[in-house]
Amino acid sequence: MSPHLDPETAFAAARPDDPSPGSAVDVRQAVREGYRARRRRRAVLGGATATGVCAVAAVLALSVTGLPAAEPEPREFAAGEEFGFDPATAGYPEAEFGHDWAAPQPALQEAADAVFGPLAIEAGILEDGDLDYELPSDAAIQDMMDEHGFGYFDALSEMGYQHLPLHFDAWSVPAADGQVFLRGFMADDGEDTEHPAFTVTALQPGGWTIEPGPTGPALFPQHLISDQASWTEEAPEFTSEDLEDGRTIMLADHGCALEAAVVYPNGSALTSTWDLDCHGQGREMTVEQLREAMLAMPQIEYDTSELAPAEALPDFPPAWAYDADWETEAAADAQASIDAATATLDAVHPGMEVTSSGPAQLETASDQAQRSYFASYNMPFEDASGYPVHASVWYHLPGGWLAGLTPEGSTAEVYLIGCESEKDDVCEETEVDGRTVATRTFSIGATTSTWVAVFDPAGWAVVFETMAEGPLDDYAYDDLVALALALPAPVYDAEEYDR
Amino acid sequence: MSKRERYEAEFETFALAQRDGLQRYAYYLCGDWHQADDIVQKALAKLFAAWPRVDPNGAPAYVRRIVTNVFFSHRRLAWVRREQTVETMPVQSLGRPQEEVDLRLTVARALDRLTPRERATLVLRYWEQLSVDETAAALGCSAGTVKSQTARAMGKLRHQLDDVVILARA
Repeated sequence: MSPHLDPETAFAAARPDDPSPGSAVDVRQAVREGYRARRRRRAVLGGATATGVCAVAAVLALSVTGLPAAEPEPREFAAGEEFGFDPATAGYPEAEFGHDWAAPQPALQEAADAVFGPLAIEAGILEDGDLDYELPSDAAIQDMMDEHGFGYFDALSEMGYQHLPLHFDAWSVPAADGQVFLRGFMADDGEDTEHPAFTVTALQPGGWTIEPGPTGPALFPQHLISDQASWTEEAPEFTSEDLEDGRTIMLADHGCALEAAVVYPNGSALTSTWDLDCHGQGREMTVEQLREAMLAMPQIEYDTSELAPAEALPDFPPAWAYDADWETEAAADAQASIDAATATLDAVHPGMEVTSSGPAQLETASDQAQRSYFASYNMPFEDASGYPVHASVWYHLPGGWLAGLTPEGSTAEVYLIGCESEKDDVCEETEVDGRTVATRTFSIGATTSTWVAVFDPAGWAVVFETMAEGPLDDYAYDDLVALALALPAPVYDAEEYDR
Repeated sequence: MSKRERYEAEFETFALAQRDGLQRYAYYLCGDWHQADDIVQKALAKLFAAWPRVDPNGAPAYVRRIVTNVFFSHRRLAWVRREQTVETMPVQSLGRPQEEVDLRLTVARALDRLTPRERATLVLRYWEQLSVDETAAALGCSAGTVKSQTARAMGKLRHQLDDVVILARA
């Protein structure tokens, strides 16, 4: 038989069967990259079908180029209802995937297209035509939603429509150490970079304050805009103006960058940042242009039914600011710690194989870092799957976490071990020789995952984590707890970590 | 923390179980073990980013789909196209009858001239031995598209192999 007569047979027979040289894929790295991707990923929000720069009411007319524009009609901005609590110290629950809290906001999108589109083009950030893209039809989106049970934005994202220029995406960021989330919609230049040329963020009420201060998730409530140096070493020219219609507009001129925030009477807000020339881009925009644009945007009514006060957390040592040099500086201590841990494990299970190890800075919900040493192992035995059992050791140095299991009902992300009570997790918290031991076990099919965390009174903790298919001799729950308890203290400068 | 831990554990269990199979699938697609690792690494990161909404029963097909899409993206990169030559196609000749080696080389060269989507379709159907429906799920297209892609790709293969007469083992 010749291949040209039977290509199917020829092709099937030609399947390569050379052995794999071994996989270099790092699953933990995939998790870390996945988290980064999730933070970047913001499902597309927008109008239903074809979208370009939409015509909007004359009230949004804006003179970007300096040409005379019609004087906007006075607008009224209705106050929102009272919440019965301070919305600044409140937030929203973490949105479940597939459940879109974020209803499409066509009024916001249309206004942004008309107002910020020309501004971005005038500044040289976007080009004519950048906004002339088309989204799938309503029917296609609905089909995707129905087929997979997605929400609107997950459906659009799944269809590949995400991160378009000046196109609002659903936006949600953790606050108060992950106990609550801020919600809103964000648009940027559409470039997949960590530092977009501009951002426009519409914030729902909750979790932020009108007071200027350092932005970002480290503080709660969060600040919309800062009056302190950030883009450069110089503090910006900062102005705040209460308007007769109930709005407040704040502007920060950093020289090479502009920032603005408008707070509306209904408790919502709009912010935008513009990197004009901080890296020599040579883009131009005046504070007055940005002011006009911000004031041309409408007040949006949002669903705030899930807004609730955030609970106070117990005091705990603060997390660390991310330090790119720390992992280099800590490499020797991490190696010594892991060597000692490996020796301890190897004494019980001779033949431990370290597959990766080192210091690591774990990103916290407040955008800071927990400092850790980690090691991943192949245990010297296989489970029922026929593969070596995987295990890892994580040393957590003081700062940024709380000991014990996550309290029931809490979504705070400062506990090292949590228990998903509505699932089939089994969790325990005990005291052993003055040390708190928290464990968590759950199974998926025949595979059981186990965490054992030992919290030492000295302020450090160690977590032994493993998963295996089927029961294994000398590797049952009590054996794992004993292994974790036997792990030695990590090497670190206790004085430096006395926070 | 609890949800994150849960997701991480579920994902790790799944990823460790699937890793070797995905690596081989990616290798079938790209013909290079290192590229295959790179593709799988990126695919697993994308999978984890979407993990909370991934149906466990559909996860194997879903991750193949991601691997396929990452492979497509790789193929669009100029450097990959530049580096990708027929010599990088997997051919293990040691201890094999010469006819089989020749067949593999010939098919490899022919396969490399297919579009990435055609190639993925054939790999999934004939090397991964998936059904039409399973292949459709892995590619994110309809069963009809799989059939038409298969027919078109096989037609190209037939044309590529037209002047070659090599005994093929069933």
